[in-house]
Amino acid sequence: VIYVYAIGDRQSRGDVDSISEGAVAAFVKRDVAGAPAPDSDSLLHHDRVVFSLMDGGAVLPMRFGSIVREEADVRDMLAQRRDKLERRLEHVRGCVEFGARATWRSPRQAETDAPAGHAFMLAKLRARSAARWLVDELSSPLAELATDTRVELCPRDDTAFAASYLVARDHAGLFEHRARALTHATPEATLVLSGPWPPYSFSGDLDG
Amino acid sequence: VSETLARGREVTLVDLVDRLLGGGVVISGDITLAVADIDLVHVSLRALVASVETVAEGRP
Repeated sequence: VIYVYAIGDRQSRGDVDSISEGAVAAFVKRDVAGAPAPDSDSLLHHDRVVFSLMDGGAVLPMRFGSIVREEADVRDMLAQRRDKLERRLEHVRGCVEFGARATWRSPRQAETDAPAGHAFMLAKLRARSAARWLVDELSSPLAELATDTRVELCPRDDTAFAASYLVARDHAGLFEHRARALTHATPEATLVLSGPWPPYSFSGDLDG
Repeated sequence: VSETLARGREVTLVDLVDRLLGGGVVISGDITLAVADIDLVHVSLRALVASVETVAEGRP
């Protein structure tokens, strides 16, 4: 079977093998035994390969663990979704992704350890309202520098929001500088920056 | 280009897990044999995340 790392413009990308169809290519590893072991080493390897592919042009990372039976299936996959792939490649071209998480002690956590029923729902609403305020304070200044932004409110109890920003490479330094200045901008939360990443959050479900 | 960007790259395991298992291109149908067993992977890696803070990154 074939492991697929990413899809990108049709051009050589160093040592990574590729299967092309028209103007797009899938960057692959052939003859793998199956899906990779679900551990941090495998995740890091996938990420390193995809990150290195960005040197050669725009890429859309595949979801970790994507394997395909044979080369003809890869070609079909590319041919059937060519228009969508080309549009998404255009969207991410020249950009990298940054992530920012606002970690906090949620108002919901602070209420009590195990609020029940009505009190629980009120606490949850309060937490989401506070998280929205933090998005305005901490994420909006970063979104101004991004071409696209995704924000998820309260993905975990210890996180007010998790955001992903698609940022032009030319603005990457400015973006990082602004994000670091916001790290402790509010006493309610700490902003944690990550990246730059390949555009994982801006590739998405092609068939959804 | 990526050499410069990679130099100061910050990759935490929690962000790595979120992006690689929650993001990326997903192809539905029978072409893709597997996207691993994502739920299982997520659970096991989340447990790992709880005990590991930062993955030190030495980029090529």
